[in-house]
Amino acid sequence: MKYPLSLTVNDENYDILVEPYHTLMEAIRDGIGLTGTKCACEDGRCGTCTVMVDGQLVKSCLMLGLQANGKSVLTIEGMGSPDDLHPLQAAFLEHGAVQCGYCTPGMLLTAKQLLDENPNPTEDDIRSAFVGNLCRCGVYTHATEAVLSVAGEENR
Amino acid sequence: MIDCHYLEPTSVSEACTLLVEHGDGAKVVAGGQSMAILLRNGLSQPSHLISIQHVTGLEDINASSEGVTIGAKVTLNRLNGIGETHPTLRALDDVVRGVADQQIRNFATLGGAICEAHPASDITVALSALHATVKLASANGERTVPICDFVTGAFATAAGPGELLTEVVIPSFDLASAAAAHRRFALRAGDYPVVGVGAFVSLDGTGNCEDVRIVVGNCSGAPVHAQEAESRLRGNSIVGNNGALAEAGELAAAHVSPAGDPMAPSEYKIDLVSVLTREALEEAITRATS
Repeated sequence: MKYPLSLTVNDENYDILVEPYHTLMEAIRDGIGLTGTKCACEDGRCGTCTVMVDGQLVKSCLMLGLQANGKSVLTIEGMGSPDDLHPLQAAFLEHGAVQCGYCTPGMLLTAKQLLDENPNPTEDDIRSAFVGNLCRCGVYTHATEAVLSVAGEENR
Repeated sequence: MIDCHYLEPTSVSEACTLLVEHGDGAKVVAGGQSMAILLRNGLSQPSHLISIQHVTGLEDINASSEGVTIGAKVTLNRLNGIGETHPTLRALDDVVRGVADQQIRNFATLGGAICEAHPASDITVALSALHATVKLASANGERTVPICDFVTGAFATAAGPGELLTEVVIPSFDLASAAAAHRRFALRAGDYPVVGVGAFVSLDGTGNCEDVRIVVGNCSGAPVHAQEAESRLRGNSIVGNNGALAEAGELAAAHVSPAGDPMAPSEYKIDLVSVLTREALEEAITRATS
């Protein structure tokens, strides 16, 4: 049985219908059509589907869509645009912290949350923050450097 | 696909009524961090999902002379660092900081983690070592069950029809002479552990072991009490007695017969039980004497 789901995604309101067992990731990708949030393991391990719900980081494959009803979601599309990159996105490009790119949306959201909470993280803080984001190309070193380069900047 | 309904009660009594009404087909969703996986893999096919997201009164952490009470909906992230505010909970803190990752800890709840009854759950192991109890609400009132009796096997609990876990109570103990600790070994950061061990010790006036509990996780469906190891230590000198602690580790290892898997054969897990038991005991003794 489908239920109405009302979400604010990247400051836009969406009203869609979902089954109770549909995840937030399915609601975002299939219901709303924002495919920047990636789908990989669907098992809560890889973190490619990481988004923010009411300012809190979550793997969107582990949250039922209806659990996010009425909440505000930030996806990679809301972080920046090709013409107006978020400083973290620009830093990831500059430091070559992208190889295949599949983990990148999740890693960027995780990096954003880290800097929102701790504007001056240490390298260890950054590595710990990435525990929930698997990158099989192995860009962790570059990604850590990218986050460090943005840390402390006022225009994050 | 399954036909499924989604219900959102706003009180414990309403949730309990819905659980009775929909019987075996009803499943409670708290943070959803395990339920989403069970649903996707078809391991759970409920007719009714009962979300307790809007149930009030399950999000408090309260301390009294009797102990610390933690509401079922308290997230694991809120428990990260709990040992600093509530020093009797340091063993729980040992566990929580290693559970999964921040994304999951942000929404995973203590009650959900207990009720999932995952055989590798460290949380139940630490809480068993701490002699925690859980409070179950139903239409008939409340009952309190020791956590070691609540988790009855892999993914199985003693929760009856229409019962909802509302609180976890960790009894207080004298920090000057007692402490608990938990040690785990996982193959990758954030993974479920290969083995985890929780230990509680209390010392008498002469520094001998007055009471001890050793609980081993992920070697059976439910956490296992290593009774022979406990008997070896109870009443004996344990502070700085490395020989006794090593023997306790070996007795705990002899007590379990875990199934092996490709990443961790049974003998490897048994070796880990020995080492982690000793380390958990050492840490608990260090805490109790400092």
